[in-house]
Amino acid sequence: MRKSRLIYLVIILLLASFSEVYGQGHPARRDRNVRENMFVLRTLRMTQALDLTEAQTAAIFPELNRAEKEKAQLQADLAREIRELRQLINNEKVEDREFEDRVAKILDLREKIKRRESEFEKFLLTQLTSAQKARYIIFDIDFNRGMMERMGRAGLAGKENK
Amino acid sequence: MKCEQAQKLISDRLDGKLGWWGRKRLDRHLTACEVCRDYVLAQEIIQREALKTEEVDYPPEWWRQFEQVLQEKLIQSAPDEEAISVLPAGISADIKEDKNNNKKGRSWTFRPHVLQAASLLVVVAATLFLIIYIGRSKNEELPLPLILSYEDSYFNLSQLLAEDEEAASDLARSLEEDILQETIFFESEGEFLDIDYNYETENSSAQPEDLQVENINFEEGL
Repeated sequence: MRKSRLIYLVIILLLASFSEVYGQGHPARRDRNVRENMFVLRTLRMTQALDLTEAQTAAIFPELNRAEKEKAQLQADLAREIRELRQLINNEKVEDREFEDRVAKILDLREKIKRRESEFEKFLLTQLTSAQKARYIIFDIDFNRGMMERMGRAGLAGKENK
Repeated sequence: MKCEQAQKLISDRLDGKLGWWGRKRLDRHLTACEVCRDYVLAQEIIQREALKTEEVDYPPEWWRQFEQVLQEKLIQSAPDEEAISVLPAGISADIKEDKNNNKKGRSWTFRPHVLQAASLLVVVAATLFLIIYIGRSKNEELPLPLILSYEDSYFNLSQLLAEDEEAASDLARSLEEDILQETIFFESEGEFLDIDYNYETENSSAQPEDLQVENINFEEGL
C-alpha cells in the first residue's frame, strides 16, 4: 500500500520539477510553480497526516486534483483582475461603471473560490473516519499557519530589497 | 528539511558530531529559515553560558550565603520532605542528617555538588526562558494564522510575492526542498533514507513533450 502511494507522490514530484524547468523566468508561470509546489507539499503532508488507505486515496485524489485545477484557475483570474484594478485606480479617466464591473468580478471570483474549497472539504470529510476528520482539522490549521510563516519571511525579504 | 530535523542537526553541529553532508543540508536550511537561525543563536548563547559556569570563582562566603538562601527558598516553597527530595541524593542525605543532628537550625555544610546543582538549575531556566521567549515573539508576528483558509492564505501569499520576484523564487525553491524531504523521510517508519539524490532543476533538459506525458500520468495517477 505504501509503495503504491509512493508512486503517486513521485509522479507528482516529477511533474512539479518538470513544470519548474519549463516555465522558468515567466512571472505568471512562476506563480503557478509556487501554487503547484504548494499543492504537492500539502498533498504529501495530508496523505501522511491522515494515513489514508488505498481505497480512500483512490476516491479522494481525483476529486482533489479536479478541485485544485479549478481553484488554481480561479486564483490566477483573481490575481489578474486585482493587478488590472491596481492599474485602473491610478487612471483618472476610468468611469464608475468600469470600477463597478471590476469589483463585481473580483467579488464573484472570491465567492467561487470559497465555494469550491468548501465543496471539496465537504466531500473529503465524507470519505474520512472520525479520527481522520479530527486529524484533518488540525493538519489544515497547521499547514495554513506554515504558509503564513512563509509569508512573513517573504514579507521581510521584500522589505530588505526596497 | 523540517525545522525539528534541522534542530537535531544543529545540536549535533554544536557537539562537533555533524558530518560534511549534514552540514551542507543544515546550511541550506538555515539560509531559508529564520526560526532555525534564531534557534542556532539561542543554542550558542546557552552553550557559551554553560561553559562559563565552570570558570566561575566566587569567594566561599558568597557560596555560603547562596546556599542558605537556596535552602530557605526550597523549604518555604514545599513541605520538608518534598523540598529535600528535589535535591540530588547526596545533598538530601546531608540535609536530613543535619536536621536530625541539630534541631536548633544549624545550616548544612557546603558541598561542591550544590554548586553543580545550582549551575544546572540556572542553565535549565535560561534554556526554557529563551525557548519560550523566542517562540512567543515569532507567533506574535503571524497575521491571523488560525482563521484563514488555505485559499485565503494562498491568496495573501501570492499578492505579496507578486511584488517580489526574488522572494517568489526563494519560496518555490524552499517548497521543492520540503517536497524532496517529505519523499525521502518516512516518519512513520522512523527511518531516514540517506539517498544522494541529485535534484537538478536548473540544468535539466526536460522538454515540453516530456511535460505533456507527465501531465497525462499525473491526472491518471491521481
